[in-house]
Amino acid sequence: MNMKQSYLISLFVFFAVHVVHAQEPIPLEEVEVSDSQLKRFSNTQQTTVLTDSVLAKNEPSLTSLLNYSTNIYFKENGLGMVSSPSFRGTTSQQTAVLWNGININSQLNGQTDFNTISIRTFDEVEVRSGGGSVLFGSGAIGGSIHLNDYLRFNKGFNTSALLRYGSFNTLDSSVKSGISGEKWSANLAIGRTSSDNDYDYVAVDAKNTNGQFYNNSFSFNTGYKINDKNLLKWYSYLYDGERHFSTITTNETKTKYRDFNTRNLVEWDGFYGKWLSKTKLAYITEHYKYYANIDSDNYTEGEAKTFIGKYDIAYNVSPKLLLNAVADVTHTNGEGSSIPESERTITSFNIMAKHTILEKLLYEATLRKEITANYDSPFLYSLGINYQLTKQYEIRFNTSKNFRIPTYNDLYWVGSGNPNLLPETSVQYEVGNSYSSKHINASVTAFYNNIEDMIQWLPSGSVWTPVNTQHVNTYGAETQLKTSLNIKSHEVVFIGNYAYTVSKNQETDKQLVYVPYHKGGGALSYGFKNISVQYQLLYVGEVFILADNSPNYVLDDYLISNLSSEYVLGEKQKLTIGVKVNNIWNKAYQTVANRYMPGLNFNFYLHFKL
Amino acid sequence: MRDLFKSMICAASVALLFVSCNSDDDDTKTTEPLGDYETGIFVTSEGGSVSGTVDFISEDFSSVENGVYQNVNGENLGTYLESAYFDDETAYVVVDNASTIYAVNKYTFEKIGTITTGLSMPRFMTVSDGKGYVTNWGDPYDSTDDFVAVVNLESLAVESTIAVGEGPERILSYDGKVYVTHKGGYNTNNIVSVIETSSETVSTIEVEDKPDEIFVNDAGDIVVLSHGATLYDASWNYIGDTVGAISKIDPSNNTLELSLEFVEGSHPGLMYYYKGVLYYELSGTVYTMSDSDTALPTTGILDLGGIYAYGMAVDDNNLYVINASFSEMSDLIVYDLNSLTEAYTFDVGLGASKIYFAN
Repeated sequence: MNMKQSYLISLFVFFAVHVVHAQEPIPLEEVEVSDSQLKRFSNTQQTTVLTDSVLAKNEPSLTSLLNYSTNIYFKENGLGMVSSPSFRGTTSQQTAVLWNGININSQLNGQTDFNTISIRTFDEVEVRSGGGSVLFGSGAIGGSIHLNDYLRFNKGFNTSALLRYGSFNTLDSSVKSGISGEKWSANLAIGRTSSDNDYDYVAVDAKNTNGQFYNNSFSFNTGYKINDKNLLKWYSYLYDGERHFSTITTNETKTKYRDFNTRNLVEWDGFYGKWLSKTKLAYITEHYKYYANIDSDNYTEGEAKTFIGKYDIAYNVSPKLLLNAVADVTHTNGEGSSIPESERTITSFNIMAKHTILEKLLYEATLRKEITANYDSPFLYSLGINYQLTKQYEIRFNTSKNFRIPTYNDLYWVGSGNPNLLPETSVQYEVGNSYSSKHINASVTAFYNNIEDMIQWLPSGSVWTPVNTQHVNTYGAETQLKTSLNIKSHEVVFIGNYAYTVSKNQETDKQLVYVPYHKGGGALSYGFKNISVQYQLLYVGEVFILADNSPNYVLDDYLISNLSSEYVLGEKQKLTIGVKVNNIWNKAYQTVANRYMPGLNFNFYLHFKL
Repeated sequence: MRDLFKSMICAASVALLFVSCNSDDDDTKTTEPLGDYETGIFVTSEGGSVSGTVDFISEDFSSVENGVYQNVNGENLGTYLESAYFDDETAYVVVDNASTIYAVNKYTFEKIGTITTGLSMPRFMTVSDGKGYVTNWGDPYDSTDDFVAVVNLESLAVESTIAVGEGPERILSYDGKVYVTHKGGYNTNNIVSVIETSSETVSTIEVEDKPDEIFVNDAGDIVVLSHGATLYDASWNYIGDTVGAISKIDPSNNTLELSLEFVEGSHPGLMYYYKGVLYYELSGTVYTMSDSDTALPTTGILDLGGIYAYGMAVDDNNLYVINASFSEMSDLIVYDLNSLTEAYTFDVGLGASKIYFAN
């Protein structure tokens, strides 16, 4: 431990022991949600919350949920296969995914495969656009996705069950139960998805072969209020999935991939008047096995075990000023078929403040510095301002410096890894404004993002090795609109979003591959009493497949429509019966070259709530 | 019909005027082109994020056509397109991950048929005495299931398989035998297999690690380039290298007659042989040797200037080098061997790797 480290640690101890006892109402979110920084410091950036009821209407993969409801672009190697996001024109490793406040992007490849996350066990998915590395760590450059479980008290017993069955023998089933009293809260969720996924291609006379998959996810969360001041929480999660990777040519060697991930988090919250203290210990594991030939027992694998210790102390100086400091230590031990066992420890210190200076003016400022022997860590920051011009209209400004650290593959891949890599860094600016009234919510955000030292694998002699070489600028605008109209029992709602994104390699002046200039979508819903109908649209503009933007390799744009309807039976104990028709115009489309997506397909579902 | 009509006319002519019809036939052959791809340069590309391709550059370097097979047949080849073999009238395109060989008319590139059964990660093909011989890795993680498939070229069916050592790569037909270099697939190997085609018996010759390119030189020797291997210990620490070499095998007794070793730690990448000159690439420089040389040259003829040299060939007075990319179109660079300057550059497919000449 060096001088700087010990100095910072003693600062924290000082913070921790100077706890003042006084009665202040505790914000409910501080009790119910573990991702405190998301809830505390998101006033100057765009966030989108997708609640339980939205999740239930959707197919279980995080890809399909976010594809239709956010501006994030996805490329999917065929339905259910590997899925990578591009948020604001960034790469798949530049979107952070957090589980109850813990960054779960793979230590091995730095990204989250959005088809290995089933939304069934979560209570809420929140999307936060733009940089957030101070708060959420590596990868929060384009934005961050937050998977949250709520621990609620005094809610009694509730349970819900969802059963969905559809085309290609696709089964999606889940049960969620919660019980809570004054002192205890516990909930359990189990989900399983499986599919033959053998859809016929629309444009050519072939079908999706070797695309079958299943996954099981399980979560158990519990909380215990020791007294008014102390709360203990436990979160655990398990994911076990197997996907066969669909083939492009009929005679191709068939492959499959297994994921096994576990996540555990213990949290002790102390509410001491103006002081809030959260102590967290987390242990997360990831393990994959890749079978290059399903007829053989041979596989290659990779595994990483990460232990995280985190201390978070917040001080409500006044209702207008919140100070917050977090110290954490992340220790990872990873190895694989091509990665020698390697350990890395990262210690980070964060200081954050939220301050309402005028009645209508608020700013947030955050700082982070990491200490690690692994890479040269930059100083990260963010500064955001929110100005409420009128009751309906607000303007936001945010600037931040963010990073994406080198992955295990980048650093340690045998014969190729480069131990001297720097993190990718991004300095970004955004200006947003939003208007909200009873029937209209609209927002427009313009962003600019300068990303340097992007890691790219390049040939060096006969081996490929990662180097900090690319310099990319992304800029564009995101818009969201929600309008609703109620006449007697009739309700019409329109939600739309559109993003224009330029993502240019500064050396070649070419658009990054698989980043569309245009992406837009929307949903028009009509509800009358117990029945509702929804028409959903998704437009994705053409994308380049090769880095030189070769006109020979361009993926065409597509417009997909889905139609769904729901009928609700009962008042309190509700049974919802739904039907969804995807791709109703039976369009042939691909999100990755040579990987057709399904044509017209159906599913039915029953959602029972007690 | 036309042929029948022609032979009837011919028979009548012979009967009446005693003229030869053969010369007549020859005339029609030379005036009518056999297809769009009769003369020129083919470049095959492995593909990756897109299908493998075959590109064609006209003999006069005036044009390049990308994706010839796709253009003619309206379907993709798949990944990874490892190599092609150009026989008398048929070209065979070997796509390893698709375990498929596409047989096409080599002048028109129209598909004749495919071999989809009996192959497993096929790599390279040759033809010997009317039969096709294809190296196959099998399961790359299994070091004992590698084989050479024997293909009936009429039926496009694998007739039999010949078990060989780990990682068979290039294959050369010479004097009733086929020679197979064993680069080792995902592992490392150091043998050349010699298959007596009549009996399908296999013998092996030991060379340096990772033997790959193989040619017959004008002196009648089999020349093999071994890249040499990089070595790691059990916990994946780099511990050293084995040497690369240019080896000569005497085909009369199949013994190693000469092995010219490279400096340890330097790994030669590419080799080609054309009219008495052996060309090889080492660390971005092209070197040449004559058949009678008994030592490696110390100076090269051409510095390629930091490109990713992934394929090399020579024809007439031109040296062709591929600067490969797996994220964008690759370049085929044509150097004039007299002036040693760049004469042309063409955009070729993703992960371009092999060059073949149609003439």
